[in-house]
Amino acid sequence: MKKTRRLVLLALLISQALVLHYIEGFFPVLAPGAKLGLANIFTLVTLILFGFRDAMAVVIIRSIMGPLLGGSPTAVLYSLAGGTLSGLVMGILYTYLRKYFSLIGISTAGAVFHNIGQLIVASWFYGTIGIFFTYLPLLMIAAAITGYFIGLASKYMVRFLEPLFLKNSYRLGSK
Amino acid sequence: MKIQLKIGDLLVYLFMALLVAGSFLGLHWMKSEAELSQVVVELDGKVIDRFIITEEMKTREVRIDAGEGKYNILRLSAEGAQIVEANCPDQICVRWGTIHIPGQAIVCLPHRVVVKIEGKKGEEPPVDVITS
Repeated sequence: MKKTRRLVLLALLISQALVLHYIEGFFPVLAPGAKLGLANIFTLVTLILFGFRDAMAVVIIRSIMGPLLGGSPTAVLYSLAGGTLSGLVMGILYTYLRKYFSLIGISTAGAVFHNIGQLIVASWFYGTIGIFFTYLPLLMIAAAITGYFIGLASKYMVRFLEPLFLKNSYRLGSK
Repeated sequence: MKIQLKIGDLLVYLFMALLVAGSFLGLHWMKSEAELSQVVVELDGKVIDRFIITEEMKTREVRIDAGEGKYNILRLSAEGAQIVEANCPDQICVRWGTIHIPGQAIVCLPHRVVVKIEGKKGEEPPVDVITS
């Protein structure tokens, strides 16, 4: 894949992740901190179509820009901790252990570690590990549900994007 | 299109279950830790004994030996700590009453005995009043 083409496609993925990150702010949540994790779809899609390194780039850029877009710069720390940790875990699982994990498992693991990363930052922020223990069970339930559907959504997404991105490049106007 | 669940996915769910169980344990452990306040007994400025006070504890009495036949009897209960008997001349420690708030102390000057309550590690004693 040409360098420019790759750059443009990654930029598209990041911007779509950002939009989803923004939109999911309007959805009601089960508990404070529990989110749908829609933007995770694009981390997974990038992971599958472009690989570990690019997926990390997408997730880190999204984690920094997402909260800024939403107008809460302090959330960058939470977002970055959760995003980086979940990106790393999903990347490792997909790149090295794909044989044993389906996309659902990988996205659920990603959701779990996203929560863990955020809770670690929250515990450090408030100076008590109690927050970690109190919220974790609730967030795990949320992660099991959202992880399942995010995995499913990513699978469909990849099915439609793959031919578009990799094979029939003329559709996107390049030669 | 269906996604076949694989063996690793079960591991993910197992890991989550472990995390949930672990956090309940952690919460329980933290609670019991938080409720503990300690009764510290000092003789001559040195800590000679520590007792933990919980809400479920039974009342018991401890004899503090200050040497040369001098003694204080300390009663530990869920309400706090109290000196119920002493052979010191002024009996101030006996009349002191029960202490239970971190920072409070009973002093028996003739015997050089101090009984005080300590809260959690590194915790400041509560503030009585703030005026502005």
